[in-house]
Amino acid sequence: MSKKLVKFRLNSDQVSVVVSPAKPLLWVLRDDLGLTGAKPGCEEGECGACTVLVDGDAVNSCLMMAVQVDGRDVTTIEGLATEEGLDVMQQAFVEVGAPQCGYCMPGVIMSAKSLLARIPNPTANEISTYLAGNLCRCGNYQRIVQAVVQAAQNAKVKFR
Amino acid sequence: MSYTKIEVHTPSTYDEAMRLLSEKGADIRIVAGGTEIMVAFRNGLIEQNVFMDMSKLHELSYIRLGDDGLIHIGALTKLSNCLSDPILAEYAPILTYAIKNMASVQVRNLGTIGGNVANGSPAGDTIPPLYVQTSNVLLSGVHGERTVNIEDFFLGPKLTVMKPNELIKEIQVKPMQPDETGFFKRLSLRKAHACSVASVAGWLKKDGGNTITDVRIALGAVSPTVIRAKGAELSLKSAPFTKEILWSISEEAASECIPIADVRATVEYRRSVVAALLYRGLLETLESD
Repeated sequence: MSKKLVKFRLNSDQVSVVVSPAKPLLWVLRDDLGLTGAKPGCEEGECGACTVLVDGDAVNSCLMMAVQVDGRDVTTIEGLATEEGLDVMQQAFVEVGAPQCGYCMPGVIMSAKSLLARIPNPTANEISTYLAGNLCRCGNYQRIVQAVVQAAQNAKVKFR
Repeated sequence: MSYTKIEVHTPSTYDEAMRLLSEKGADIRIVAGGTEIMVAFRNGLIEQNVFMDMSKLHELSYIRLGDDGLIHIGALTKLSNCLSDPILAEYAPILTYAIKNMASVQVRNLGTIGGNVANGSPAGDTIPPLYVQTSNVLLSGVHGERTVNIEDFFLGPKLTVMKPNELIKEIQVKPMQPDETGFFKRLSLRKAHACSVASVAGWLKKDGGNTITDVRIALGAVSPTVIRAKGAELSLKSAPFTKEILWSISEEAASECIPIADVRATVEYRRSVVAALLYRGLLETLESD
């Protein structure tokens, strides 16, 4: 069936792809755009490994059709670091040692980014509630929460 | 899964969507948030290969208080927008509470209230609150609009009165008044991000004392559709409230449902859960005043 032209902003760049319209955004990112940061886990919206931001909101990229991001703004884990270094959230995850196998990390970090954009100083409880859609099979939840707290503190220091 | 054979139409106006519906009717599948459809599709459970993607139809995303005294929620309003809406927080707190505990942040940012209703799952968590707060579904089709009471909307699991050329335009909810109160309780195999084993929504109106003058109770995930527990409602209206009486009324409600056994729970367990959820909901609501 006919493919469609889909144009959107991806990590600050304008991109356009010609894809099957119902192809999940996750696979458009991985196959067509070569960005393998967002991870396929369950591919049914349970695990959160594929989390990206669309217009600033965390979503499961496995649940979105390619055509649904037309004209929108998508940020993936690849869009966080700059020439000056890691993003404050990535840096905190490194400092705290939050990743074990690391597979869930891109999704966790994207969800955590959207949390801090809404609540700059979340409590541990707010963090674990907000991150309920991101599963870590290594079970390193304690350090994930610690890392988000640390990122919030580091962000404060940075902006002071 | 073969998304290569799929054709997707993305209308940018309501009129264009209606035109597509009238042309394609039964052959087209509406995609609101897509959180159910993408999973069903992946599992090979979708027969149609023509989809209508509603992501650009911003006209149907709104929440407002109408001159008719009802809250109007556009069908394509995202669950996350429902959750942060001040009108719903004040006038539909049972619904807001239910949405707060639905799925995950990522899914609530995609899923819509109209999609949750249209999907017709007896475990849809927006539905019991909509039942007890008295709601209508406004359907729009080629031959005009019609309003259906939400209790008449569902025919069975994933079956509704919607015709192939109709779409849900909005959900209309009667606002809660200051002398009314309510609750929503659910049990799932884990707290967040899991399908309900059973859920109970309650709406109560009391006189100055502790006598219930009006009450509505809805049970989710324990019958082919969400149902009202009308026997229990009647008993509650005449009862003095001791814990024993509340428990026996809760068990009465449990006897009104027809649960199934599945991967999440047995029939007996679902009944027990219904009684426990209702009992806790009633106790907390009556004690909190």
